[in-house]
Amino acid sequence: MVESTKTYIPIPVKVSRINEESPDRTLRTYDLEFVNKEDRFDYMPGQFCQLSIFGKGESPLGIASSPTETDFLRFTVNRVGVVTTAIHYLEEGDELGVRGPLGNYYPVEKFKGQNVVIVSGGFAFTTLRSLVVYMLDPAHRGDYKDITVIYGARTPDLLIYKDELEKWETRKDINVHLTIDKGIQGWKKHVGFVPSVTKEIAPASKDAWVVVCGPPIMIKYTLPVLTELGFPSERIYTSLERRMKCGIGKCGRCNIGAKYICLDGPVFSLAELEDISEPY
Amino acid sequence: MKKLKLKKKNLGDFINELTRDYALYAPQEKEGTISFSLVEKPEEITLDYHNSDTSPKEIFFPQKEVILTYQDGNSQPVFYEGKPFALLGVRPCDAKSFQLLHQVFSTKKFEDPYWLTRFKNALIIGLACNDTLPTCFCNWLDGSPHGKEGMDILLTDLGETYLAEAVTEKGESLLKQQKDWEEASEADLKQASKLEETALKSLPPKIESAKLKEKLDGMWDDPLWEEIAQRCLNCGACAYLCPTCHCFDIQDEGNEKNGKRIRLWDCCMYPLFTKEGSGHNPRKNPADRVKQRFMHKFNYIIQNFDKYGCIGCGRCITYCPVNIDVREVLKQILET
Repeated sequence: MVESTKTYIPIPVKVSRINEESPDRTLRTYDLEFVNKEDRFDYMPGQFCQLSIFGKGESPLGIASSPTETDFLRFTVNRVGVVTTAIHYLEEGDELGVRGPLGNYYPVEKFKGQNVVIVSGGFAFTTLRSLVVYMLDPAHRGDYKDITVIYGARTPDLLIYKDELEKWETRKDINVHLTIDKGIQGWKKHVGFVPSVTKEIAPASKDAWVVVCGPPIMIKYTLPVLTELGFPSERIYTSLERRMKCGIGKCGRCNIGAKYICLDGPVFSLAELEDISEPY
Repeated sequence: MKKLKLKKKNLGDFINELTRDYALYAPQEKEGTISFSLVEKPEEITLDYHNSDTSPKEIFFPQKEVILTYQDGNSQPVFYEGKPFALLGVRPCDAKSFQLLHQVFSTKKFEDPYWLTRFKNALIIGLACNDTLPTCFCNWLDGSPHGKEGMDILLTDLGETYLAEAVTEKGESLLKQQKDWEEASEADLKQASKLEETALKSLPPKIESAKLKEKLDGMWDDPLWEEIAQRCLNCGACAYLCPTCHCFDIQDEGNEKNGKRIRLWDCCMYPLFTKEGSGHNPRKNPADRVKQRFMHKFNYIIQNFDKYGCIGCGRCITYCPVNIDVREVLKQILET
């Protein structure tokens, strides 16, 4: 039980680095440092925070940094509403607030000794980056067998964390498959939508777990492919999003059926979701 | 537990005593509306009433509440700092609603400090219903016109006196302080149980409420939701009057330097409730929202807290502008 008078109080953080992720300037990555070192909190890949801008409000965002990266908290922010637009106006050195860590996390304990497949599309890659960096960390890499990443976007520009993806492509301890929807000159990697590329790559389902995050349409067409490849729904995980306010299961808006995404999620197995009538 | 009698002519003294130690709230009529308001003088209150128009949950979970103030990037939580609350004359259904709200706000990993600050030291003095309204149906939902759940003391109107029964230790110790109150006699207790019997008889015949959850499990795609949605105006009156609705919004008032963050009641009947920044709305049709309301009360809350999300107070029936009657909906669910 988290018993705190500070439940709704944002922790002050400062922008230490900003990276423009897409040429249309709608996606930016913010590295944040705690203003007071003693505020630093531990978290796990898949958890999220409420980012707070006083005068504007709060917005829930998945943590893109890995718990192994202790110097900063990273968030990639898509500019869509009042709060995310305000975040986009921030410059390095500016302060904002963060509430978290909230929600559950990817079942990294269950993944131990197993192969892990990550399937993603667009800017949903954020908490999956956290998961990959966590598993690749020398302290953890030995816990997992093969790590495969299948990641796609409409165009090469819209793949986020490009520099890091390039580095992973050169490593021997991770298989990275990048794809774009339509081929363009100079692109030598996969071409096609994530579900069909997943089918083509056909990661083995034996002793393997898969995490799939992306736009709803991608998820809709990827799940049958994974089932066809032999992944049981207990070993298929995803992370969900909904409009949220409190982030702690009280304000009542992020439920799917009886489950609150902020509290029981955001990470769910497909098996759990199959028991819920409400569409996710 | 103690069972005493409070003479009606001594009620004023009791109220004065309560106001010394507590911020006392009791039903008061203002411009034709009965609400639980802060009592300054005993003569302001009315215990001769059916039920308050608004739910007394607003004392522990105000419709609008400042949760923090901020200045130059620093924020401070704002908590209620007054005397502990005492509520006098709470109807059994409403007292039961506090127990559900307390579960929502104090369990499932996180405690809500604002609710707890207001609720944890509160004294709840209930008032049994001898006379029910045509919209009352607490008996469908594990309630009773003389129910004691969620109270420290239950008062029953016996005409010239109130029978005062301690329900909790806290109620017991308050009654022990009442040196000049008489012990209740066998005849008094008999009279009270007779009154309870009469009140119970005045309520509508029970339905098979225990089957609601299971029925609803299979009703995701039922045409009933669209049928209700065609009448529903999505006005939210039901949610704002509902003693168990706990959904809220959080909004900032002020500029980026100075201001306050407030929480306000919100309502699942409104399209904006779930509309996301991208424009996507997982509950974009009125039928989706109507379904959420009934599923939450009679299925999800049962799954999460093992009790009904409705106490049968009937306020939503009285005030729905298009006469949607939750009792009719429940019957329709059971007939499906």
